[in-house]
Amino acid sequence: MFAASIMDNLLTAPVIAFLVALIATLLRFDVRLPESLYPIISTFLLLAIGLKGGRALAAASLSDLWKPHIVSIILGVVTPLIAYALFRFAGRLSVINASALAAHYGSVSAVTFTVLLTTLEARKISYEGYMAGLLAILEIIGIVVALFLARGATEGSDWKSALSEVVRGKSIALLGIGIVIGFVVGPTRLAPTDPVFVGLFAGALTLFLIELGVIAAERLRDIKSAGPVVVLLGIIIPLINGFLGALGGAAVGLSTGGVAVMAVLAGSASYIAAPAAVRIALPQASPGLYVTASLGITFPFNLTVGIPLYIAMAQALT
Amino acid sequence: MNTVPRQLVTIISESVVEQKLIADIKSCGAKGYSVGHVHGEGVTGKHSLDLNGPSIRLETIVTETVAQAILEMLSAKYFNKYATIAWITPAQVTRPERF
Repeated sequence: MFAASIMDNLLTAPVIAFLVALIATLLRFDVRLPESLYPIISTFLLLAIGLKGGRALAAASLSDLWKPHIVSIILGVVTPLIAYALFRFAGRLSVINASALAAHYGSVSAVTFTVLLTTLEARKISYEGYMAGLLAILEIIGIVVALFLARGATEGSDWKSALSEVVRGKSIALLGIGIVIGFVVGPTRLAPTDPVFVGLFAGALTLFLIELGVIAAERLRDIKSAGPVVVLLGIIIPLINGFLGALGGAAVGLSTGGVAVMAVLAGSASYIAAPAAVRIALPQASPGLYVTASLGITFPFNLTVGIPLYIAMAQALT
Repeated sequence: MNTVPRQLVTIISESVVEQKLIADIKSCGAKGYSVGHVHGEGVTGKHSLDLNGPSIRLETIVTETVAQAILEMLSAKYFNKYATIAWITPAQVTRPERF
């Protein structure tokens, strides 16, 4: 049954687009989208995810909300610590590189989250719609905790700009304004915007994954220099963190879909907000290591095997 | 037309440092700037393809003193940390009070 679930998940347009673009790039076909398209699509996706979350937030009651938020805060602290410990002691990386990786694994991949939501909807598994807000919380806390781990090893690092990059940077800011707009306007009045933000969503996500496939392929070429332990940890850490996320979600009584979402929030690794923050705060850390691990290894793993696995965990736990 | 000499400082750097770099050149005394996105290749390899955009090319026209201050600031805070190059070109401007 799990194999069927993997196939079910694989045969969606975004996932296949990613894999085809990745393979085509490895075979040296030029499938890059025009450069100007990428920021437009990422802006659109973040806004649309935010609107969806805000709309659901308007319909949720405060008593439903507080427990999942507490769990997200706890996961935000625990997941980077686990990643740090494994990269530092099992992977024998320097404090700075281990912290840089912890920032990525402590934060969230908005695209993995989005693909999961699309999969849940396709499989008619319901989830708590307000969880986009939890994404923002986990992202911020995860990065801050990880940067804090590196504080002893760096001198004169620019913490203030790094922090401002995380909080005010494009990904959190757009997601945030989407949530506010969705919350204030509410589901009924938001309906006229649905042809754009709901109707075009799956298509835009597919375009975005073509671009990610190209970038992931470029990163795969750096895998040799990252080393086998980093590759292995890039698969083990999402599994551990994803399992913890699923446990946390089940403990506060989320629905099956909600538990799977919590697993993805905890188990995915960022490659937009975290690299920017880490580059500013820890310029000595190696991007060849952290971007390769999060985008070259963990993202493809989560997209193909992780998502069905997290859904299976959720079904077992609820 | 009467023109006055100034220096054009051009900096190529990583897009993640754009805001920080703008604040830093302003604190050196630059009054204005222009930023464009560029891609290319340097001694440290091809400009990285990542999701935070291509490299930036920042230009500012300043006095000789400010140009030197900017280069010193770059040596202290950027050259050893970020993929950055910078150069100065003589420029002739009208309305010198603007630069």
